[in-house]
Amino acid sequence: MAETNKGIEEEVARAFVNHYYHLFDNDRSSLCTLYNPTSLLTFEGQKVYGVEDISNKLKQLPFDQCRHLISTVDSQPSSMAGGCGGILVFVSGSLQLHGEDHPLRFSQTFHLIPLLKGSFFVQNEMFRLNYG
Amino acid sequence: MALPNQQTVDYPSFKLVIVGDGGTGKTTFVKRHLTGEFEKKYEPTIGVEVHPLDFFTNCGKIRFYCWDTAGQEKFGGLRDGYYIHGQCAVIMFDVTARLTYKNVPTWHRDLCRVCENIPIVLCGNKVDVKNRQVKAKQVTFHRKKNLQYYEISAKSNYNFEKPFLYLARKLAGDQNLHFVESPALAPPEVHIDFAEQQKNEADLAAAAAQPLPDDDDDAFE
Repeated sequence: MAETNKGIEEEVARAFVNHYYHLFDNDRSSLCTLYNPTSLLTFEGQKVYGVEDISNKLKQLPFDQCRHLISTVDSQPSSMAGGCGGILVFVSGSLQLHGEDHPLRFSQTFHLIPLLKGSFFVQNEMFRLNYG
Repeated sequence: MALPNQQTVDYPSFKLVIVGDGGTGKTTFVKRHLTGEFEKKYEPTIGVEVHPLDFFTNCGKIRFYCWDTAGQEKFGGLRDGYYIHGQCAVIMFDVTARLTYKNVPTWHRDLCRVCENIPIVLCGNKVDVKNRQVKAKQVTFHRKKNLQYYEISAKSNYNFEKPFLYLARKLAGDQNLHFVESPALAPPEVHIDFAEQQKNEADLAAAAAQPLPDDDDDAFE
């Protein structure tokens, strides 16, 4: 089983990452579709729970336009024996805010959990700017 | 404090930390000073741009190394590394955006947690804009915390030197220190209504004579 699925998580992770940052940069309010009532986000140290609060947190960040540039995407299957087939994703990159002279570096981690029909939701997410 | 790749000087110099919500005009403010703008350096690992701002006083030159963020405050609080060794500070808010004044106590608390007992100036920026949301007499936070307050308009250079003069006097321990020459500033992009601003300053003086409202630090309606 592990053999046949080898690398699948990498494809899923890559597809998810492209989708997530595309939404973040173009239509931030649609990010709510990626979460579930049990989801947990830690954003610069602040913990936010559930679809509504997470979606509000991301929507209300005080900037309009931004552009993510992804440098690396690492992923691993997260399931234990008999587990759920989750995927752990670690992203690093930089973020250019409209009107700022310098890009900001960031790291972000996602734990994706499968739903029926091959789709996933974000159970855990952690975001940090890398500086100082 | 200069960055490692930045030239140091043989006259008194101080690290000045500028904090406040994103969009309040911190970067616009420091960029008005032209030689500072010319000599600024960016340090990506700390995520800070340091502008060396020189002023000419009756006691000689003084330099403020002004630490300005690259927008990290839009994501949350700043790291301690930004505040460490800060010797003086400016807390900026935007008089046309109420929330930015409401957040001043948080910035003050974060600053004072790392920098104890440094001189601090509170600046209400954008006083050139007609539709103010925070009136001069509503600004009371500085009185509770013993800060200096100035109304400024970065785009018109209105009161640009005032915060620096206040900090220079505190740091030098000389209330009679004064600037003998103005630094070169970017030309004003907007012009201020002086009659209106005189009225604001009068309101501010009148408010200072009133007892402080009996409320929490962060209460503001």
